[in-house]
Amino acid sequence: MTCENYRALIADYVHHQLDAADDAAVYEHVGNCAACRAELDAQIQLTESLREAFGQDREFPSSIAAQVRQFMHAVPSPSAWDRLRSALRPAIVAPAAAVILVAAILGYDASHRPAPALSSEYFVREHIAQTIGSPSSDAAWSAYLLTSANASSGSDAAASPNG
Amino acid sequence: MPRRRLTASVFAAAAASLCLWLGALPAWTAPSGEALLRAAMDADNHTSYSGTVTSVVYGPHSATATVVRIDHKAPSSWRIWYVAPADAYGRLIVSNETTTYQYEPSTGRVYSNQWSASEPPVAGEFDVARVAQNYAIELGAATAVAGRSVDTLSLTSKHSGNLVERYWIDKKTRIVLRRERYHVDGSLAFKSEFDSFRYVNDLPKALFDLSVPPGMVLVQGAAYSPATTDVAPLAGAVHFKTIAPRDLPDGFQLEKGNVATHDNVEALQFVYSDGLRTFSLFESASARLPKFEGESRAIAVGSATGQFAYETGVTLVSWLDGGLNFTLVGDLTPRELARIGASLKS
Repeated sequence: MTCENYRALIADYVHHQLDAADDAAVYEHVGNCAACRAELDAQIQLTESLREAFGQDREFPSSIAAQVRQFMHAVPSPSAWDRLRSALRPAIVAPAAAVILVAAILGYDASHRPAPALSSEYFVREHIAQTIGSPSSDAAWSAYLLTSANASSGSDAAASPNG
Repeated sequence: MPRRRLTASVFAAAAASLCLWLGALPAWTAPSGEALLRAAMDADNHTSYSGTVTSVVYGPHSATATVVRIDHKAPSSWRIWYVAPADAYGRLIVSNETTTYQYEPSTGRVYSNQWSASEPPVAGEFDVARVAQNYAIELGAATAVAGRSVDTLSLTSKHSGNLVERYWIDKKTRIVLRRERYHVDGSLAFKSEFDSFRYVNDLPKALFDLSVPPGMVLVQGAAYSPATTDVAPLAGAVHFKTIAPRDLPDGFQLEKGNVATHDNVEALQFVYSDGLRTFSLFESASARLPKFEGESRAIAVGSATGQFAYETGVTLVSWLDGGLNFTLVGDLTPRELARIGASLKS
């Protein structure tokens, strides 16, 4: 897998949504790749920020509270309904805002994370590999395509030098 | 017995013998197309040679060529050195038909490829009888390729009437010295030809040693999933519901299949053949069309709208249905592949 593939999995990795094999693969990769590790750290930091911001009841800043009190004293005595609505407003607005913000962030994240897809080159290469022995296959041309896939890929595992 | 009657009898007997001999002669000098094709496909098991081969794949807007120097020691040792294209210049392939080493001097790497992992081969060991079921195999005029006398063979589809392939076969060794494949419209799709050919008996064995020179590193080449002809269990090996084409082009049948996971996408591949041409059907757990290397265009696949493209000598048709991606790749036209795609039923 490429770094791009791993990065597509990092959000799910942070939220423990991957299966065991992918979870282990991401764990191993971020241990060896500084760029993906930085991506992981950024994702963790974002998650922590959201948790801190919306994970508990939010206190209004004192200045705002003072202005509210001043306003309440300045206006005529409110009705029972107005008093109830004013009393409930902080308790409703803060969680609602939190829900809307989190949903927007998650929605943005989901809509911008590309769904996995295979390339046309993958399909052609797999077809050639499975039909290289067929009468319609040309050895030199088919071998060129398959060996070029090796030569252009940067990831390979070294075997014994004289195996 | 009068002398005249004796002379007439002798002439009659001689003429009868001559007729019998002439009657038997064509069976010796002019084998049937099927027999010649069978001999050609088996020739490199018995004949060692060296030569230079140019292969050209013709696309809709351009052509791509490989030029290779080939040394072959019968029955199964190969050494292929690439002269062109530029990105493969200097690449050397040495194979014993089980293991293939790919030497890349520019990077100091030797790739070990187990292409035999993709066995079993399509249609077994070139099933000439099966080819003959679907293609008329006709002998053509004798001519010359690379300075050698050749017989020509034409393979015409018995179903469509289209000329599909032609072979130029060396009279002495039966090696195929030239080969052409044609599109449905008759235009050239592929050509491979020996520019030079030398029949040899004394190629040194060391030429075909699978060894790693000092300074180079042996690494594993790309792995391909082993295929099986027992395709029924493959449907249970994937996490989505597989479907099969209801209509196949005349003469085609399912040969083998495999399951692979690539870039976190599970994919099932079925390979079909009519003995000569092939195509693959891929069903993958992806809700996106593949990224095409070059230009792609829209095509209707049943009620879906897909994309098709020509890439490196094969046709691709790809579309989405039910949250899955379906892609057909092979020697057929976009329309033929789209028709197969439209017949996919669970």
